[in-house]
Amino acid sequence: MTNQVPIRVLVIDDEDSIRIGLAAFLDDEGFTTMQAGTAEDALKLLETNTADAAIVDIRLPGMDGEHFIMEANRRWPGIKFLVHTGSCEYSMAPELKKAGVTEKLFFRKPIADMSLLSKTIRELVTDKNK
Amino acid sequence: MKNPKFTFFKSFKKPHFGLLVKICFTLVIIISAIIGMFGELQYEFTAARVKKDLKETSGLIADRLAVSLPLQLMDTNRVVLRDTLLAELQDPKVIGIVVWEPSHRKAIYGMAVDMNGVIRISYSGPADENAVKAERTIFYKPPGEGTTATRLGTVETFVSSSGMKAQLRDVLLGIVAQGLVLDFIIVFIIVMIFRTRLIRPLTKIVQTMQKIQQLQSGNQQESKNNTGTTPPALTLEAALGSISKDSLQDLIQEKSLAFEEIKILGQRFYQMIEAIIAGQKKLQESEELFRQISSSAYDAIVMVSDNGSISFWNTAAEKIFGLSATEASGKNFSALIATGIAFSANGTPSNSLSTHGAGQTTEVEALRKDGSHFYGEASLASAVVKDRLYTIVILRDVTEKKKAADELLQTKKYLANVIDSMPSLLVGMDPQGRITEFNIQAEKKTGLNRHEARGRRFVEVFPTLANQIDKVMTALRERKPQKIEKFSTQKDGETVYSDVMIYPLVADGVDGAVIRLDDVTMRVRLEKMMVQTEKMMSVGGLAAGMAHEINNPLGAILQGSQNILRRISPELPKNVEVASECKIDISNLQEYLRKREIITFLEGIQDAGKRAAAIIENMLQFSRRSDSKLVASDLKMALDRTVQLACSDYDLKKKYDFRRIEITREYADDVPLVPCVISEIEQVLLNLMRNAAQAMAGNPGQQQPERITLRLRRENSMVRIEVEDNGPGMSDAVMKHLFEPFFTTKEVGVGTGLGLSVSYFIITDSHKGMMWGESAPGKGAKFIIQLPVEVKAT
Repeated sequence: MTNQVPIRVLVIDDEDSIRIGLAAFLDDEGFTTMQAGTAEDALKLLETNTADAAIVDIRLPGMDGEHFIMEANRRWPGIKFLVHTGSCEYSMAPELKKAGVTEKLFFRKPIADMSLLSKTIRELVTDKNK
Repeated sequence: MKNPKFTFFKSFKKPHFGLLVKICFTLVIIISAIIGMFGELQYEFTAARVKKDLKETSGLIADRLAVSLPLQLMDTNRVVLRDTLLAELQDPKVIGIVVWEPSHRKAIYGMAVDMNGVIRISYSGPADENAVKAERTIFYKPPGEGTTATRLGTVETFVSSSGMKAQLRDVLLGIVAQGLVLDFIIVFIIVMIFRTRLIRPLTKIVQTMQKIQQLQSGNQQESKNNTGTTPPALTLEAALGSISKDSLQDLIQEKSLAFEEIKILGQRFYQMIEAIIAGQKKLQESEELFRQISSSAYDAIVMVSDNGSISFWNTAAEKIFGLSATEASGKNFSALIATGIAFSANGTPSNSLSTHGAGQTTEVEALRKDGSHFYGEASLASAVVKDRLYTIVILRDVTEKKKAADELLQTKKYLANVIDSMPSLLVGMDPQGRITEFNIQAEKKTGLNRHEARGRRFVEVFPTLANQIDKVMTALRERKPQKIEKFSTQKDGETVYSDVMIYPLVADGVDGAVIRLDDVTMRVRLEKMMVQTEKMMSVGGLAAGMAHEINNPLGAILQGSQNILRRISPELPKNVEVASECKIDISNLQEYLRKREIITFLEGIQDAGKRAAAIIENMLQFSRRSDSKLVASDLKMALDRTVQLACSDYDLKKKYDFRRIEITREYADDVPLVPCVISEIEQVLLNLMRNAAQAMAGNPGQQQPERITLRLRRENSMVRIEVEDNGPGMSDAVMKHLFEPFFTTKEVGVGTGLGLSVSYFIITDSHKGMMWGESAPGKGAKFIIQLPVEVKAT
């Protein structure tokens, strides 16, 4: 694992504790993480940095998660997206499906065991590399 | 066509005297015969008398000659004899004299008058054989007494009978003349008598008859000309009256009517005429009456002869059929009848008279002149007139009546339809509380049909409403509608709610009330459910919003605790690395954290967080839309599988042995497949069964063996599932909060209070069904789920 190039994951969530917690866990799991509190910040970040995957909260101040995914997917098609939301009424928009977000990549808060998340990201990115 | 009876009268027009001639002839013959007979007798008598006279005359001459002749005979000279005879022959009556010798063999002398009246010598007498002969013996007696007479010969004298013949002819002529005169006189007298005493009155009678006849024939003609609208009978009657009154009375009064018989005849005739007049008058009156009746009748009166043709047609018939009497006359009546009276081949109605009988009416559809149909009511009768069978049809146009009746019937039907179409139960009743009207809903509800219900007491038919009869009476008394809302009754263990309206009838002449009963169970249930749903939805929305707000901090807690546990673990290389940087032995740190139970606390935080997450997860089900598609599923299988699931349910097994509970299944056969998410339905059913099991197990007063009854049947467009237990039941207070989240009757920690609320959302929100509970303390609990057989796209 150490020989491999670390997977770069962008965590976008306006809730600091959530974002930091996720990033900390992924860091511990050997991922390279970036964090953004808003979609706008995330887009700026992506202009200068490359990411393999992004964990996106849907409810964000300013641009929401869906629009971010559509925008980012348009500009950087290589990025894989995972949705992480606390909303119970949320059902996935068809546009997200076009951006490659499947039911499997849909995580509801709270994630009791984050290892499922890291495992999913790894599989997703490895598949892409293949 | 001449009436034969009038020819008899005609013969009297110029009376011939056949009878008179006969009588005269007979009389003449009789008289002639009588006179002839008398004449004959007279003739015979006269002839005998004349003959006797002639004989006497002849005898006298012979006597005289017998006296005178002896002297002449004694004289040989025959001249004297001749002269004597001649002298005798001078008498024209004497036509011959012969004098014979006593031997009578030889005539001595004879003279006779020949045909020409010349006296000639003849010894054989005259040529006339009818001459009357007298013979005398000639004696000679010498004078002195005692002398004997000597026969000298015989003398024959012939007297002519021609004088007698003439006399007889005169007699005969007299007799004939007498007879003729008598005959003439008698004939004359008879003729005169006939003339004055018989012919004249008879002629008068005949004339009267002729007059009657003329009037009658004129009347007939008149009545033919105008078809009985004006009564000409009056003139006839008047004329007849004048004849009889004047002439006939005179006839009878006339003194010339010497013959009693003729008088009687005249009287009889007068009586007869009077009778005729009376009869005629009566006839006219009855004819007039009949005419009036038939023409003023509203009904068509038609007489149909045995060949089916119309022989009488009254004014109403003209109006009804639009066919004048002349047009109708002789027409085939059956051609005017569409249905109702079937005429057999010979024209007589084949059905009606025989099947309906006379006097009964039959419905008829008939045709007008213009071909339009109309309805009639016909009564038939048969009559025999002059050996011919007639059918008398009295027909009434009932088109309007029928139309009105049809309309009435239609209206009645329509009203009945309206009443029956109403979903409400309607019962009409009289002031005595007896049922007068009963609609189909009432029939359904009571199982009585309206005929059975009519007349029965309302409280008897609706015993559940017996205690509400006061309201009915109030409505009747005050004439104000009364309302009983949500009146609850029990039916098959279910509470049924009804709204009862009592409307007093205020129409004129109608007393009573109409009671309307609406089953509002569904409405009441819906109202309750609406309230429930409203409540639940607001709770659901609250829970959903809350869940989202809680999820973030919960995520932070869970993720934070997981990160902490990971970052104190010696297994992570980074931890060892950072610990050494901080000059801390990670193993010692671990040891410390364990000894101070910090790890346990952290694990506690994590467990609590997970539990909170689970609650939130459950709460989210209130509003989370199921992405699962509804699949047509067999609910029997779902029920059975849930029972199995319950039996093997660990939580249940722990405290209650589900297998101990008796499960009764009442599944109908015709339950269709229902579109649903079967796992969700099973979740709901399991929840209900678990609740039932827990309630029964926790019931100290459970008397009966624990039983859960599962029912499944179709109800219109819904499938109904019932889960019923015979546990302790629920109070109204509990029932009110039944589906509220976090409401539980279980011990703290046993139930979350979310089971029924989640179930409720699954049924009502995801499946568009209905769910409610029915229970009362001590009566067990029943939960009812209704799922639509077809889900409409929303």
